[in-house]
Amino acid sequence: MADVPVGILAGTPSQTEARSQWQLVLRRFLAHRLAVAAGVVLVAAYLFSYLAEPLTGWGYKDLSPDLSQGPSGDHWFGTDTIGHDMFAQSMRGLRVSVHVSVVVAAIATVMGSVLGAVQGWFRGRVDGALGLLVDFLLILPLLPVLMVLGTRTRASGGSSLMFVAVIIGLFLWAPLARVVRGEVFSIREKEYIEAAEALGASNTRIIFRHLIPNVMSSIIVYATLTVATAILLETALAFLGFGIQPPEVSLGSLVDEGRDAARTRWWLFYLPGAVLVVLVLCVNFMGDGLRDALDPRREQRR
Amino acid sequence: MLGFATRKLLISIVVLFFATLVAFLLVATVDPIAEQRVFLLSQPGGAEQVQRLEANLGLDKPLIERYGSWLGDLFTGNMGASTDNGRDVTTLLGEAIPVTMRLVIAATVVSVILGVAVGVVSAVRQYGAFDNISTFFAFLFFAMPVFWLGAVLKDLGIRFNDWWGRRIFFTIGEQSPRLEADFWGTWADRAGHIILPALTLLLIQLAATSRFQRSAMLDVLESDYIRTARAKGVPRRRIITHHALRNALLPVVSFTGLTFGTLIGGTVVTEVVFNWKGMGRLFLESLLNGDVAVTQGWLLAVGISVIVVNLLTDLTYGLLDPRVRDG
Amino acid sequence: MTGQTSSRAEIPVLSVRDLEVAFPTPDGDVQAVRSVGWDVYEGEVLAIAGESGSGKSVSVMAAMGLLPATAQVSGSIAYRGRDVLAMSDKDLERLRGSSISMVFQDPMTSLNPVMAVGAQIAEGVRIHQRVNSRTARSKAVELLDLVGIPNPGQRVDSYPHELSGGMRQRAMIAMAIANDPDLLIADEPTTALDVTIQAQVIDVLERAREATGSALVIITHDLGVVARIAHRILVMYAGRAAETGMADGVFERPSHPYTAGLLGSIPRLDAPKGTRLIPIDGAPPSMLAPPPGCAFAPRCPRATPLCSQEIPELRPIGNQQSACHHGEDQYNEDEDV
Repeated sequence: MADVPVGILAGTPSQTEARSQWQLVLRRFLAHRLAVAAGVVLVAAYLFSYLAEPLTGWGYKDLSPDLSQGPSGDHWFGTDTIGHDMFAQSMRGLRVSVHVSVVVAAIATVMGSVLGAVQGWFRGRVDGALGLLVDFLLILPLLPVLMVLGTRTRASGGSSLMFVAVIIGLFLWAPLARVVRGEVFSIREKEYIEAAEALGASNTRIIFRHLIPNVMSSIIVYATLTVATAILLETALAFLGFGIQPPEVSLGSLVDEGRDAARTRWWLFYLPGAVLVVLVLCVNFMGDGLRDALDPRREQRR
Repeated sequence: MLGFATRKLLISIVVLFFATLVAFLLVATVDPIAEQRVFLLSQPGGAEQVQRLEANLGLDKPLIERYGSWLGDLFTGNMGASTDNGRDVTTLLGEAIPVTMRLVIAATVVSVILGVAVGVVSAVRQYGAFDNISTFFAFLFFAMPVFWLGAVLKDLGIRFNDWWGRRIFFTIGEQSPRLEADFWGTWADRAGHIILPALTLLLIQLAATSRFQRSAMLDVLESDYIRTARAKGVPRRRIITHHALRNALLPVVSFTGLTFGTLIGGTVVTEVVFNWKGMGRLFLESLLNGDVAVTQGWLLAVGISVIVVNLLTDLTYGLLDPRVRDG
Repeated sequence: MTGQTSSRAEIPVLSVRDLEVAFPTPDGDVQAVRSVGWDVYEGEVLAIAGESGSGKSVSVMAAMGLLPATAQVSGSIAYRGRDVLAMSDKDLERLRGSSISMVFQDPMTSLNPVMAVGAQIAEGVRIHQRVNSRTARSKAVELLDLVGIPNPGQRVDSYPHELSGGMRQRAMIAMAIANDPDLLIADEPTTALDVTIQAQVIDVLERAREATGSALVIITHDLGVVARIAHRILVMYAGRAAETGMADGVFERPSHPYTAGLLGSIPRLDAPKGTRLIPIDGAPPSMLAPPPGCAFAPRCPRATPLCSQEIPELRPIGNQQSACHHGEDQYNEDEDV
């Protein structure tokens, strides 16, 4: 018969608080609606970043004769001291953040899933050695390390986008590897894995065709989390001057340039920053919704 | 427990050696004469000048030899001197570390205490008003870049001062320059300076810690041994304080160790925003000046602090969990 | 409704009547227990048997007040005449662990991993008795000795992970009898254990019951485990009582095809050579939308059209009570064998 959900049977004191069923349903619905809305906002904002120039008539490199103007119908986010249209700049920064973080997530996700699966599958020394590396990466102060590596971007100029994405990606795979390793440990004894092994499937085949597809839900959730982390790291590097360099635009460098004007020309500081916060917020909401959708057991405690 | 502690200490020492290697290799990617190089190579006869500069800095020697001599100097307590201003790296670090420690300790202590409290209350009254409000703020601050939150708080602080007509929040530096005050006056001045930077770090850290504590607590409250305690007739309050909390603190202890590295990154950014003369500023300037001796020394000092903090959290974990110290 | 099958005249220690328990889920209500009643008398051993999800655990959890607040409970559960369902949290806390106590399935996860077992036993003692910590501790040592843990003076300071599965379950039993309860409930006490130590743990339970004079309710999916000590048996299926009666009678001549099926899947020493174990075909029904008539009908070899239309009520057949339209046929068949 339908198994009574374990969580319900193992009643907790917390549940003695009035929490009727419809509240739970409403909450779940709300949570997912939020995730869906966040996804829509994210995609719309990204597509819109391409429409910004045709719509407003301003490209991110264009200089307007209107200097230091507040937001208006012509310049939605105002202009800076030399006449850049801040809306065009913010949209450009958003696009750069999205591109960088997608590359980062791709690198980190592939490395994390493969190395984690290798650890879980081969165990023993391979697991031990990679495990030490993972432990090391997990406690590593990432930002300072990336700053050191990022000194190169200062000399190389505008072509720094891919470089920044790669160095961030190479350092962000450890959390996923740890999770995948744990899950592979728990599924490696399952019948279908043993059957594949008994049929003579190669290690590579088992890892790519059997293990990784079976831990896909965690991989998807962590990939989303990685996107958020990547955006925060990319913009922080640009803010400090060790990431994306002008003339390319990052939301981080926009905030850096605008922060001294926070009181006098607030739009230079608050508007790019708000775009950044909304971007990260949307990614996090999506990650949360995905987690609930992919692992309903966890839903209760989110 | 003694065996456990010894084992952890030995691992820490191995990790420390690894960290010196990583710090050295990282810094080896930095070109200390990047700017001169571009300029000189465009001049006639510049190539020889570049070679001379490199020889002066020892860059012509193989990596392994440079690593060896750096490591050798370290053992004698010599971390080299700044190529920018000639001062000892140890002295520079000695000046910067106490300043940054104030910030890090304030942010960590407050965020851990508040984070545990908020997480426990949220879990015990799951989906109550308090839980919903704290969830909202956790999401908000979790999405905030440190540099933006810092700058926003700075702006708000200045606006508040203007409105109040008196300076309540200090937004520049770690203490007033040329301050002449007694012991208490000095600390009062420092407190005025530390509020906003500490708030910057701790709000973001608090968002993460409280969510983590909440989910650990919910896991524990659903566990079989909590049901056993209830079946024994243990009162609800005692179940939370004696059975659930102690188990739910375990993941948070390791979480605090794991996020210490992130906190260091946040500190660098915060110090830049609030113009503190601490480790953050020292690091940023060393990178901008190609001052490799300082960068190396800085990375090593931070590496040691991360290793020590993780050793401490491991030992705390061992004290709290008998399974770990035996295993 | 099982009261008549017992010859005793005293008031039952625990009496469950018309119990219904439902859990709301997003997909609808799960009806875990549907109109179940049973009694257990002083010194008696009652076995409640059924597959997982048959509602056997839920009905005792309700008696302990351990169901989550979302559970919708109706009917009555009386402990020595006092309605447990109407008790305040404070009264329930006083009841639990002193008058009624419980042993759970998995001793690995049911003991607090960061507390020494002695401390966990002593905690229960100190909550219900006014004693100092020294006395509570020596009581814990005594109890560990009673349940057959060697070297109790040392083991009292052991953590759960330092004990074997069987030892942990003994410690759980020690904890449960610490306050001389009137009723001891064991929820699948041997399921998580190695087959070789299952019998030992059942012996310890029986010994604990004798030492405290309490009644014992054992919940199990494996009738073979409790065959030796059970006085009476209640078989549950899909949240309802399928059959109930004295243990000997139920084992000898089951009057419900489901009971016969359960017994058929137990190896018997007295079975003729070559007899094969017959597992019950099919899976239990969904509790979200239980079938109209008899819940067992889809799996039942004796099912007729009547079975899928009308819910069979519990009624006397021979010395037992059976909720089967064809109970007599089943009862008589077993006589022939």
